[in-house]
Amino acid sequence: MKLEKTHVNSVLDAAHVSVKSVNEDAHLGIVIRVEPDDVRATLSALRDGELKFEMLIDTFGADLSVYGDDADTETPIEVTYHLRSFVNDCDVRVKMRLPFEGVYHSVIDIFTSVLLPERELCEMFGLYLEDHPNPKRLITNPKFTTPLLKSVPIRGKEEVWNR
Amino acid sequence: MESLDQDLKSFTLTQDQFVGYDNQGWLSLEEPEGIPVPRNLRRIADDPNKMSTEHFILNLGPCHPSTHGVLREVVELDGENIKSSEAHVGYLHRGIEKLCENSPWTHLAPYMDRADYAGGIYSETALAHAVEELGEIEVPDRAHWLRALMGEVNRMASHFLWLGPLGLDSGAMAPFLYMIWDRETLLEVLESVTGGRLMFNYVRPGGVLNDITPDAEAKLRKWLDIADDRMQEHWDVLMASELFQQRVKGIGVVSHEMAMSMGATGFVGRASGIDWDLRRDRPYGPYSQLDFNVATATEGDIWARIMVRYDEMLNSINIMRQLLDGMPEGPHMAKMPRVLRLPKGEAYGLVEGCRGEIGAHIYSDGGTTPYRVRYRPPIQYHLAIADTVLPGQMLADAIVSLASFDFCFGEVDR
Repeated sequence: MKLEKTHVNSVLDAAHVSVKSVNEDAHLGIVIRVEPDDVRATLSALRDGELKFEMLIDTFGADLSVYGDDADTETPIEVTYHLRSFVNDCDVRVKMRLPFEGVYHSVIDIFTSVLLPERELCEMFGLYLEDHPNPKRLITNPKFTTPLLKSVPIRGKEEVWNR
Repeated sequence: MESLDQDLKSFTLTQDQFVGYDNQGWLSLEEPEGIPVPRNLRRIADDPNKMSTEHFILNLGPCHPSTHGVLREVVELDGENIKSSEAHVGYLHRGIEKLCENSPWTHLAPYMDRADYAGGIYSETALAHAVEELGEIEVPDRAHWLRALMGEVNRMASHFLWLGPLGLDSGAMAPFLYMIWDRETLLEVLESVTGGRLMFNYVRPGGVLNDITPDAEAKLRKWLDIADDRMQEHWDVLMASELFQQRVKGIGVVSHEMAMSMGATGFVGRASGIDWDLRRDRPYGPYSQLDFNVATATEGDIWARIMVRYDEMLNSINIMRQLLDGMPEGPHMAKMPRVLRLPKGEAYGLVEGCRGEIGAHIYSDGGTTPYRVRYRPPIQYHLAIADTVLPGQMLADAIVSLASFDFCFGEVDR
């Protein structure tokens, strides 16, 4: 099924969720942008609503602090939730923005599948993980800084000296 | 590396003073305050005094053969019964997503190989799909068919590397040796077409590296002639054994609700009743023109996963025959600019890989390199499921349970 903006809007209105915008991206399909405080309500509404987005396919972040014209230094960390509805065969993405070293509230009570990806997201982008049952680093150790931030160079000083 | 200075006895022994040789403090005994901890994540049993035996914590891995890679599964035991388990990963982290940000769009395939090292063709294809979607690149038909053909060969090779060692973990030595012969034949086909046995660097944005050679096609057809008999032989050697069936039936059950809420895709989802295959439901390349079945089961135990995958292998053989017979003529590579620049934006490429949905979500800022590449690892989601189903099982069953999810840790850690 081709997902239309009106479908999503009606589901969100029925659950009385306020969102910043609902856009149709040329490549991604429907993208919902929300404030960090409204993420939980939006995800619950999409899961329980008429369209039945039952599975969270992926959660990940991106550092948009030097993203061309759209560079945003106030709230540079963009977190994306990718949801899928099997009944209606359609995907939707929910996006929110966080500042550097912001507080990320887990959505694990809505979608259990974020158990490991949220830990990875927070260690990779230096966010504080809250409300998570196991808020530890997943992949790197504490000596690592936040690898995926754009301010972290791909070659460390030592490696540059040794070349 | 000061952590290596500690007494390494504590690693091989089983005491809970072990804090991990990478000094991550992962085994600290404190629980986070004020947060309800799910049972499978709880570090200490409610009351160790209530246990029927000594309170016992065992590190399965990171070098245990049953983990097929570098997984450290910390299990808490009461005798032989598992009370809690927690997976520790990260031993294979190479920063692939960060490295991708400094490479041109056309040079990313080798990194994708190293992410999913047992099914590299599919990782490459997922990224190529994303790049072609964003750049609106027209790919020749023959390239799509070659991608699908090499992908199916790789899928069979990867499944043999799963089914054989699964028998090994449940105590059957011989099937592994039978299956590795088939895998070797398929790897030779892959080698003669792509040049690599494991790291292919074959699928590029715009097409594929090489056309299939007559030698490789003859070799593949020769194997396809005997493939059905071979599969029957594998069935007789491993799965027809009642001893093996008793080891796997009713063990490691993933319920439909758990599979849905924990993001199970691929064979884990299909074995738990999620009737979903991207080759059929989001057809890409030649799959809309092919005739194949998608097997599902509802039990969700190890046996169901084996059945689903066995059927997938039989279908793969069928698909390979159709692909070889119906291969269209034409170029195998589109005309590509010398330096590929993608317009600003985001795109997502997906593919039904060996283990589930492999996705690549890319951000482009209009330059010659990616701004951000996210690789969607199906195994990371299955790992959380495995962690949840382990408590309640016996230790010997846990080994088979872990093996049945077909972990590939290059993908989880990246």
